[in-house]
Amino acid sequence: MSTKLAYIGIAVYIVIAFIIALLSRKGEKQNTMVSYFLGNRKLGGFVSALSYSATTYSAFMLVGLAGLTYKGGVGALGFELIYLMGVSLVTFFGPRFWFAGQKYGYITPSEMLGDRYNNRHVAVIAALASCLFLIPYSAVQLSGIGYLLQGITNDAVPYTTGVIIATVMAIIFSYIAGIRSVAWTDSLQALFMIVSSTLVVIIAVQHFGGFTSFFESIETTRPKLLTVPGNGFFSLATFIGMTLPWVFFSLSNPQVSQRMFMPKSLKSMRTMIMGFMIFGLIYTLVAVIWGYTAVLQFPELESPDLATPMLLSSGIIPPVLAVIVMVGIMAAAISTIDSILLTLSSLFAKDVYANVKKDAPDRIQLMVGKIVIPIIAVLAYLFALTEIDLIAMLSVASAAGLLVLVPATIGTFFWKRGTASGAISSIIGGGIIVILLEFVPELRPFGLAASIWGFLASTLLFIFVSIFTKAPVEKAEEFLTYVNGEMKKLYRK
Amino acid sequence: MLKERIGAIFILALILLSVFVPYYFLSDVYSVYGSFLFWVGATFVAIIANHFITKDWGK
Repeated sequence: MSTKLAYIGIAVYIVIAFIIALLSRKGEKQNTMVSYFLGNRKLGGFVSALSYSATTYSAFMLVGLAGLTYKGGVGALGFELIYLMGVSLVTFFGPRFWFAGQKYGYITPSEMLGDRYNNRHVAVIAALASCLFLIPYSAVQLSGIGYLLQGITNDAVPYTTGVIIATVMAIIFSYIAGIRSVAWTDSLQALFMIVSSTLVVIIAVQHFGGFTSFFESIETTRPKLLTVPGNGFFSLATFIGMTLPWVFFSLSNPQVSQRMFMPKSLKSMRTMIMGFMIFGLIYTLVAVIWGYTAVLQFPELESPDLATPMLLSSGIIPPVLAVIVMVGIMAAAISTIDSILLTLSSLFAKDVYANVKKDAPDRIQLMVGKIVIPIIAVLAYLFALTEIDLIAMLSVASAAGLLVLVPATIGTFFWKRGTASGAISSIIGGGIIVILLEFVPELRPFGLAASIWGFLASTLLFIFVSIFTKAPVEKAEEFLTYVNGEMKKLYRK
Repeated sequence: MLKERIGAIFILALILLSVFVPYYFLSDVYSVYGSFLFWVGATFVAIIANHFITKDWGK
């Protein structure tokens, strides 16, 4: 791929996205916490769906998932589609979050936990746990862009340049108008991601004579890639260990669970859920078929992560389209990072700062949030440049690590007896076990993944510690009576 | 609320089937009409189920 073409592609993307971000400032002022971080709870259904999609799907799809397909076959499809089915959790938790958010004015999911368990330490700890795992995760996304641009352009775009471009874009998108600029640029990027990748996969499949002969070639040359456990990569234990954290992703990851506070109505939330699921099914199929294309084109790659850069520079895809897909992958990563930046800064301002500095006015909280955005971005940037093993480990552990927030979140709506001590010990205890088992694989009982043990530990800790400590009876009663009453009305209509 | 509960059980069953059917019943079907089609079909059914559960929201 020519360097000039790559730079032109990147420049066009930056200019268009920047204009969209500026346009998003029009309309209501974003000078309060609720307007800056939640768009005044007035997000429309279509934008919510596209933004949810762009935030969820990162560079992982066309690089990582395609690589997983290359390595282990159809199990990659199963893993990603079971995650997608797990997003049905939004159908059950979405309205509950939304009703609670409307009534109590929550800005962040951890603020809700703190209020429901009647203890601000719950909010602080949940927020810090999110930062601990999500900042390294963002760093890995940034470095993904660096490697991708470097790989596709044959080192013409240096690694650091790619990382800098991505960091600056993420800061701009989240800073300009908060969630409004994030949601608008996300929507553009989501459309771009899905159209460019679908187009390129259709062209690649045509290169092998259309869908029928494409799959026939795989059936004859690599039949094991169409079954699980297939070539052994996706053993049942590995599959469950990988899938479990992702089934709960929509509850465990604050950058998506916060979205449940934002739609302007439950009708908009419904559009968000349905739109996202359809987007997800198409995008997953595209990424997996992309991986199979690499299997047929380059059966002997050293590393599966090379599949996408090799395909894009192989000549099967016209150069202009290859640049478009490259920009699409970049957009996928940036649209994930900017949402994480925004959510983490809201967590810091609302759950850490406002709990330490009590009675801090809304205006000051917002100012703190805005100051924190570039700080978190620079932190992620520095992590991406220093190849510290710890950062990579924390990023790998992020899906499993955030899973420890799930028991307390489920308890918020479904268990009156849940207590603050139960929630705190479940997050801290589960988190320590996940990190320990990720770092020292020999310690994993029965060789099962850290996610499984972390989830089990946090669930048991939440239940047992809650049983032996005092529940916030009055708050739980009042909260649940309200939310359950609204839910009854919702389904009576 | 009954509709919500039935929906939740249905989707949970679908997810569990999506883990076990490909491993125990389709592990020797070396064709796109095996696990590949099963997972796509199951996801499609899950999307339809969500459609029906949320059908009356906002009305």
